[in-house]
Amino acid sequence: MINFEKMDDKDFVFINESFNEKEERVFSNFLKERKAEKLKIVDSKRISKQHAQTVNTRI
Amino acid sequence: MELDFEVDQITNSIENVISGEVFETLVSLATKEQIIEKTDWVFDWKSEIRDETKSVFFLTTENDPITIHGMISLIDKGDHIFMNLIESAKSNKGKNKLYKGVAGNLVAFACKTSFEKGYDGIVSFIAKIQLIEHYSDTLGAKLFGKTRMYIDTEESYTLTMNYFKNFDI
Repeated sequence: MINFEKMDDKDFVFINESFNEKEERVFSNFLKERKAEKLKIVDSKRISKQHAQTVNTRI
Repeated sequence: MELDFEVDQITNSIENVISGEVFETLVSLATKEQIIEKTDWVFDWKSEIRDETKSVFFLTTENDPITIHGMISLIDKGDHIFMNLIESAKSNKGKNKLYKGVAGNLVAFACKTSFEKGYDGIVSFIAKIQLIEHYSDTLGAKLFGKTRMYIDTEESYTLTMNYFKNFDI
């Protein structure tokens, strides 16, 4: 949830550090897996829709 | 990887806390020739600009493109944008800040950059432990591990659209 009203209540500070290679890979893999998962869902929805259209056409 | 655009970006606005006056803002890429008063900033932005792995952007108002209200340092990680540093100008810090909206504008700029790069708006950063809850409440950021936080696509889109009205994916 985003709260624009509270955003200026505290000053934003990030820690100026970098992750090591392993940590970077873990996050990168996490993003990749999530993306693949999302694409799978989109694909399965598309296939279901196409299947429903085919069935309708036959009927 | 270096971000490959230098065009000023018109963002939403920042608000003068005292008068309530709203100013249109610009986000611009900082160059090595950028004049930065060391006394106004805690972080060493000059060295951040010199570092070619990073891209530093600064926020000004349209009617005063000289006064810098905030700065952000971004790294293109190839699959998301990493916010290395962010800082509001001295006058925009704490309870007596002069302008509201500086940090929001800059984070939204990072989100917009992530969409433009094809990273689905994903932006990450390392949070101070004490601010994790604040980032979660205000940016909708999620925790990954102990201190890495990331802004996911949906929240990133909301932030981008709030500050960049004309943005189109």
